[in-house]
Amino acid sequence: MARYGFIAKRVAGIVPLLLGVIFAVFALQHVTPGDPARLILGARASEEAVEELRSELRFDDPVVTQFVRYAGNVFQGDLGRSLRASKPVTSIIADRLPVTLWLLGAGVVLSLLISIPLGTLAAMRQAGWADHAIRGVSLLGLTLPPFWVGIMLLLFLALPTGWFPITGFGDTFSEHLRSITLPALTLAISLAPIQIRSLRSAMIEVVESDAVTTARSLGIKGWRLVSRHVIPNAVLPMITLLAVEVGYMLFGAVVVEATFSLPGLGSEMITAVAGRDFAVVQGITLVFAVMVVAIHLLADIALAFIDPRVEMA
Amino acid sequence: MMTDGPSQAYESDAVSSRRPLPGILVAGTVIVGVFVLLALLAPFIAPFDAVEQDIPNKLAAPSAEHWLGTDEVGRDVFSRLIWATRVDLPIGFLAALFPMILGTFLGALAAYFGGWVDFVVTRIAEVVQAFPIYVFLIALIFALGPGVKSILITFTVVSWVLYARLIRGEILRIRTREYVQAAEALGYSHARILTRHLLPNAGRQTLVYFASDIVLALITLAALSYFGLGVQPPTPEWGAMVAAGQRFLRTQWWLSVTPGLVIAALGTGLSLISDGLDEWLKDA
Repeated sequence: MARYGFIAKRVAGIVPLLLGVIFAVFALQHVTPGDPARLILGARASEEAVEELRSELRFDDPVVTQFVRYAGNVFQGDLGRSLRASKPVTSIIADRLPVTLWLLGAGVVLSLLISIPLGTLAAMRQAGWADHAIRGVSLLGLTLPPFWVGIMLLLFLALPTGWFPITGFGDTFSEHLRSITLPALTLAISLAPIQIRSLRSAMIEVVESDAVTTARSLGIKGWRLVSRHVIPNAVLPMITLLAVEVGYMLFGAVVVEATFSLPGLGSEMITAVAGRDFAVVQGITLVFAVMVVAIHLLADIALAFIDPRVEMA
Repeated sequence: MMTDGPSQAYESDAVSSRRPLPGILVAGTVIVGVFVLLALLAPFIAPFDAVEQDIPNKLAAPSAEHWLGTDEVGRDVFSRLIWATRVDLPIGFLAALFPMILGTFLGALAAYFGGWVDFVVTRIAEVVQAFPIYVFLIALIFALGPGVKSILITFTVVSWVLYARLIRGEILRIRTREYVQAAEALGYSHARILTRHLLPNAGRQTLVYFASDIVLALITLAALSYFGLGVQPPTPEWGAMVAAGQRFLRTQWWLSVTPGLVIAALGTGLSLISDGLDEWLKDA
């Protein structure tokens, strides 16, 4: 079947891509000015320790040899050790990843709860006042820095009501839920404008398509028309958009985690950058990159199953 | 793909400047023009110095003398907001301009020459695009060290891809047109056909995207400075000002609120220009 052939081809295609991604993360330590061993150990390490690490990591080997070794370690699940925490980077990632996944999940759900109704309304009332208002608000939303939106939510929601913790993630499920609400809302506010704009234009295309014209001529209208004929046809561009947005979404998660001091991968990354903890920065960058590659792949597979028109080339 | 999508045909022989300018394009130009003036005239407009401290007078509330109060070391917030225009506006502009130049150059080469040139450019673009480019941004700035130079290099490395794809797609679409074939038949050089015939016609979408890309660059620059990875203190920068004020949110909320409003105002102006250009050039 062409569909499975397409998927097999697509899965095979990520192998060179992953190697390229690993190479780019590996190359980070070579674009950094200065001695990589000194970089890994930090400024306070002794000259002997630096010398020892340099010979241990064999930085004098040819770059290709070093890369093969690095990639081999990555595939065996070894991302190096954190300088500050003096434990494996993988264990730090395992601790922090759930928080980031919570944030991303809740953020995407909230953003869709905002963008689907507003995008639909704007498309159905094209050029009406609701359309203009929604387009205006989403244009403004695109220009608001996410960290600032987070601070505004703290200022206007968290401080006056006391309902939401200012920082941290809590210990129980309900505490998690309360801690994640404002960060997720911040992320949603930064994602929704692009979603609204693309959903609106996708829907307008659908509304003007033959399928909807036919449905209209059969007397289908109102909510039934929207829910049965317009929204299903606008779902495909939405999946593509969410996949394309994923890189931006991860950057948003880093910003939001830093703003709310949420103990996720993003805030860990910023702390690691400040503490010049090289292995942690590399490891988290790699995890984010793999997430993006995986989500692009999943989106393509989903599209191949949902939409028979997807190019199987 | 991030915006409404290139569904409309941009190209035409009509001279678009004869058409009336959309209102939003005018409004956006006025807003951005005000910021350009603020940047140029900062020494004459700003009532106080940007970096001079006045510790005894720190964290003062807004008053007739200090319209937006003073920050944690007694600097006038209103003046720093104005001075920061000289930092954020040009860096945001350059952080979008450099990737546009590189992306347009590579995309045009790929489309025009095809073959292995196209293959190489497209593969590199795929790898860059598969990256969470904005997270890679943090890693790369980390590797290069914080600061403006790192930011400009990093932005150029990560965000040329969309420009390359835009221009490549457009050139592939129009290079079969008669006027291009006529130019080739006349024996014009590759450089001349590219710069005189293909780029001007393929560049309209790029221009629209460029205007909205400055907004993205501006917000990202502010975010990096908010993290402490961008513009370094004591240089006034809006994102860094938000970060510095966050500690005083309960008492001096205006320290964090006002720089964000300024970013949003400039961003709105640029977005209006982008949308306005799109409307203006779309059915030109």
